[in-house]
Amino acid sequence: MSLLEIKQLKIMFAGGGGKLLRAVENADLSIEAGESVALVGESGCGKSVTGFSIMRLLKTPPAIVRADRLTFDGADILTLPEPDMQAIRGRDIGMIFQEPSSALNPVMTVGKQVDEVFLRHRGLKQKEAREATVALFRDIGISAPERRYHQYPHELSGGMKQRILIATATACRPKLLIADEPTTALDVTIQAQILELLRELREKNKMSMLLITHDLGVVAHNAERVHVMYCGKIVETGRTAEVLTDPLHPYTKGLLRAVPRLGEKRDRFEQIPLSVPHPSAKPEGCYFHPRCSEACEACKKHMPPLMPVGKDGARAVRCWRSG
Amino acid sequence: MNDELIKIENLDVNFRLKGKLFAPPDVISAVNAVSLSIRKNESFGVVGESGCGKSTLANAILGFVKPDRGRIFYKGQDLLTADKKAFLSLRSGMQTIFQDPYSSLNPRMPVWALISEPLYIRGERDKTVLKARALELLRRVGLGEEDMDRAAPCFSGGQRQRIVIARALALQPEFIICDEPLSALDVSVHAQICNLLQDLRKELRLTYLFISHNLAVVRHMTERMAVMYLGRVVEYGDTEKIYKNPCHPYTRALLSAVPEPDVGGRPPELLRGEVASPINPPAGCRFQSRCAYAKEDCAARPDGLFEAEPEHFTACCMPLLE
Repeated sequence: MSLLEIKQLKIMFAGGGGKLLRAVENADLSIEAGESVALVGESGCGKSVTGFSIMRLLKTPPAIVRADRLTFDGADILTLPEPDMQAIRGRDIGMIFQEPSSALNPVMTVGKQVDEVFLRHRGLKQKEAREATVALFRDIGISAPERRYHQYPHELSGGMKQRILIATATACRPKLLIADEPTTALDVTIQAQILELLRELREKNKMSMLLITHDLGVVAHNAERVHVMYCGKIVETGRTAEVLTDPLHPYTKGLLRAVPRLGEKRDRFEQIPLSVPHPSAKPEGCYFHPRCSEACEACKKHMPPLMPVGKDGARAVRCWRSG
Repeated sequence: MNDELIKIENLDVNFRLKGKLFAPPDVISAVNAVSLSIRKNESFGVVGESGCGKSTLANAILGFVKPDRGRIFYKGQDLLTADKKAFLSLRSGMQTIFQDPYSSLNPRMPVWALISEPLYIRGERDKTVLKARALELLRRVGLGEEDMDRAAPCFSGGQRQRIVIARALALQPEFIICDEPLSALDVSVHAQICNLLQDLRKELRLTYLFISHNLAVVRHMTERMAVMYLGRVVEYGDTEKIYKNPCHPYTRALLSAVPEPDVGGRPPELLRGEVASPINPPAGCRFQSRCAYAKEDCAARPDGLFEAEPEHFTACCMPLLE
């Protein structure tokens, strides 16, 4: 049994005027123990709400979450009573977010914020919690941990705040870490440090990770498998190495070609025309067809299923043209 | 040289923090001893991490902040000593494309008014003239007549950035500062905006100052560039030469830290620590606290660049010596 199993996940939002916005449509996703899986896509593709739904952090209503299966370590996330869910959050599943400043309480020292995890999930006394927090800060590469303990978020840099959040999320050695754009707000040299830290933690704690990002470069060295999402649908999935070297879906191909690379200088970029449609105005047929250079008649009328490629079942693509 | 559109000499920009009683105020050295020149019709890149002074440099050129020292020449005229009238006439040749098209467009104005507002400010009041010019500009950036009366919230990020670009072109500038024009946009539209900026530069013979933290984009979008760290230029010159043969330890670390969608490849050279505080920065080389090659005499190094090869200057070349 996988650590996380999601089958046919649907997330909808009740919009104005009785409209239903479909944010995620029939997504399948599984993560094995110790594995890192990436969910890649642009803003609005449904990758973040997928992460939130695993933590059951979506407010219902307006959100509506349905799935044939949504289990973590055997527990059914959809039906679990709230107290049990609270025990899982922060203890068995940790989560870090894109903007570290908005995820920290500005009027509380960062040390106290990390203490809360130990007080709540480990039942430690305040003094023990403080010792545990300082030790954790030291482990995670936070300089002068005793001094940092007493500092407020505004006194720390973005990279340091993200380290504090990682400390909070991994304090109880969770089985799964959901990292939602963990380095998007950071500078490249700090991004490299944070990704290195996440790799170390995964190795040391045998932790699984769901890496949510828009950056295929970040995926390359930090996930074993990748799911590419577009407009709420998973359009391609496979081992990272295979997807990056031999992309099958025109959207994945386009993303890889359209993103400027450090390598050789190019005068023009191959561009993907138009932009991502609004979730209330998804086109008929394949959602990508208006932007696709390979689209045919079938693409305009029928949504292709996610079709397996190869024998081992690791690879699948949602495209009529590359089936 | 005659083909220099912008020439900056020894520019310092400091910000004073509110002082404590009886104590001298803390000074943030945002830009320090920066000298560079931007040639006519070239795209000049400035890269660096947040806090390196790249946006302050742009603001100094635009006259938004007052430098403490140094000179800025535009077409041979000193912008800092020019009287107000002369400054304004020079300044109208410079425009900016801002980072975030979600905050740089008034959501209540129709697109035609947004784009023609610079002309309105310059005294044009005839609505048919304003609309005609707006339409012309709108078509130039790939939008159409049907978009004229819509407001900014109706557009996607990429389309909004096109509107911002159209507005920047309204006064027929020669020089455009592109301040992180891609970083608020989805990756699939990056290529569209890059291509549009390149086309416009060729067609309208524009000069760009292209500010970005994205090193891959800078390589493709610029001919010459400067790498900044904590207010100083650490490497400067021909873009291809810098990318092929980076000399400064910071440039090398920066290039190595860019995650690329390749499998295998080299692990990044990790830089230790974070950018030092720009308040009372260290003497000598400002990068020494994070540098793997740092030696005792780095604190005593005079600042300034030397020529590593023709059209390529650097403040340090320790990595090449070891």
